[in-house]
Amino acid sequence: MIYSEAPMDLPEIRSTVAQFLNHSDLARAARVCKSWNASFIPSLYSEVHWCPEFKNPLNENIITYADHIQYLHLLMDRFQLLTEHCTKLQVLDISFECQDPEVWDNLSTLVRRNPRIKSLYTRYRRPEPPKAFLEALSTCSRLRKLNVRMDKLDEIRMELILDIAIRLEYLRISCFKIILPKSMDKWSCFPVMEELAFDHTHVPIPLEIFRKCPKLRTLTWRACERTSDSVFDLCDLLRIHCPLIENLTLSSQSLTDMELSLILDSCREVTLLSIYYSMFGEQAFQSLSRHFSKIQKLYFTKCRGLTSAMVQQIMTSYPNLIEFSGGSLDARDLLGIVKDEATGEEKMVTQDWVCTHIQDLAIFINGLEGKPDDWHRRILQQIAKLKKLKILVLSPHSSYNPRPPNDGLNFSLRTGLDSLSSLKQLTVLDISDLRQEMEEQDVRWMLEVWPKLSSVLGILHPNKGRWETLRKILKERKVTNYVYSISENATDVGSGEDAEQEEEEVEEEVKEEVEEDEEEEEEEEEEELVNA
Amino acid sequence: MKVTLESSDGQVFTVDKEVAELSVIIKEMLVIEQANQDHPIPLLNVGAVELAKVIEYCEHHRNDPTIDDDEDYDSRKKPIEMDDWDKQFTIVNKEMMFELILAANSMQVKPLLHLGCRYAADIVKRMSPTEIRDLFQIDDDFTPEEQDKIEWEKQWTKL
Repeated sequence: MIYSEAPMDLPEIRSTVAQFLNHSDLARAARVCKSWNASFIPSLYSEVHWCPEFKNPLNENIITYADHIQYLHLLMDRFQLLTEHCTKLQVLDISFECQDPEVWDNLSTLVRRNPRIKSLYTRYRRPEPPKAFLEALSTCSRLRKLNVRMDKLDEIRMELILDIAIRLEYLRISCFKIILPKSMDKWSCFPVMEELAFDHTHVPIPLEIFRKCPKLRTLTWRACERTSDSVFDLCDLLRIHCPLIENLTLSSQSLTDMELSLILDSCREVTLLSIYYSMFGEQAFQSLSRHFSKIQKLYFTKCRGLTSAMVQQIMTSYPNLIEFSGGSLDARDLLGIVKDEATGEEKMVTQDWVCTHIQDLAIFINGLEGKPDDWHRRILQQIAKLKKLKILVLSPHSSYNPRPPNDGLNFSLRTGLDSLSSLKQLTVLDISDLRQEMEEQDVRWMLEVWPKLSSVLGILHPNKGRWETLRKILKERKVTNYVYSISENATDVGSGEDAEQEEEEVEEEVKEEVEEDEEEEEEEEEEELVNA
Repeated sequence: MKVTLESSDGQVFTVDKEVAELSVIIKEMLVIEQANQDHPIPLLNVGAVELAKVIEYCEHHRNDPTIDDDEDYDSRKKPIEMDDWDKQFTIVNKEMMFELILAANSMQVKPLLHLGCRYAADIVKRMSPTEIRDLFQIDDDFTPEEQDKIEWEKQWTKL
């Protein structure tokens, strides 16, 4: 031993360690002693969620530590104290319904006092922001990311946003109604814009804005209805004006197969493709195939036309997939069951899945009702090749047809579950709405073999008593078991014991997953809109 | 080009210059002492065992992009991914890892320092203040008033 001191005695080491701790860990570390307190308080206060339901920090602490606050998440409209004391904010996340003009004034003041703001998000739909707020925003010279959600944006406000957009890398506008300036001549170029997204709108795609973003990599266009977009103009945009685009999210009600095909042909390279409510047929599939080696993320949401054979072809020929969701895959296609023309006998010519980098997979494997155990076993062996899987969703939710019969995959050692021992990274298994009859040994096996497992979704046994036993086994190892159904939200059917403890844990999770939830919320909202 | 490094217990290691330069301290020394390359660079705080391990790490990561100590909130939130080699590298006993953290700190090998601190963070995670005090032999030196304030902190952070 050369050193007399332990690393944790050094303040600079403690500060570095702090970067790897979450909120609760930091809070505990800050209560160890005075010197630890001094090291961990800055990280603890770097992120403040200001909300009515949870307890907030003491006012005097906010005053003392205001300079440490870099990320401020506002969940309620009384935040005067923060406006008075925060000056070093980098991220401001406004997540409450803002109607009151006084609150807007307060927000404007907060923004003006924090010139270092780099990212500003408004997460709940709200009426138009006052001009004064947007003007305050334009004083933040370091602003690079802006997300605005509101009912409408008139011409004047849109102009203010475009003025700001000149220095933005990311702009997302979720807005029903946008009125673009009559002339776009004032803005010659948005030189650093890499990601531009329009959500929930009722107007055609503002190609005039997109055309001025030569560095654009990510284009998101989600319209509530079929608008009078010209697909040819969009293709020109992809070919000529924004040749770097590689991430494409499109949801204009029912794009046709032909249109999707033209769009995909116009992209030089596609690494992410997300398509909503469209007809993804044979032509689009052919055009997508041209990008097969580059595609990393592929999502189909409520798309007609996507066949089981296409899903199987994606799994067997797209080597770099990291995330893939949508579609259902018939066991016959997966296993390659073909009829011998001469003899009329069926034989199996299974093609191996090649997307071994995949981390997140959501497909509905079906067509297994009444089929031999061997089929289940062979399918599980294909899944076993995906060693990097973190999230595996096999429930029918992911397919276009929301509730086909329960003829999905069985998860039991009897049908070859043990071949999945290679999935060491698996954290979430979603087998909702798939009929399962798991035994204790199956559940214990999962806990034993998948060290990172945190959640299993779905009913594990039709008998309530036996299911309860399995849930208890999971719970002992802190693995949650929720049931998700489309009409209701996730429900925990657990008993009331340890209620307090559980609540605490759940809340902790809630905080960590807050962003994901909001994403989901957004999706739901969108569905509502479409249904309406 | 090669450079030689000397551990505190007198052992000499010869490594490629670009490997040694993963240490900010050595990189700076090499700029200053450009002419005087005959003598090995003394590392007074690092023993031979640790130095060998640090060099092993630097050899593997010689082509990695450098990391900056950033004031930026966004970039701090994204720790660098650990690859399989790193995971294998951290399978050592706690004493060794702590020595490595100190070595990485004194030599300013940033990625190794981060790797070590992540290891230390994993130890501290989910531990209560009392458990931490026991483990690191620290005394609770808060005054009763400070204690009150800290108790509140506990309430707040029960999110």
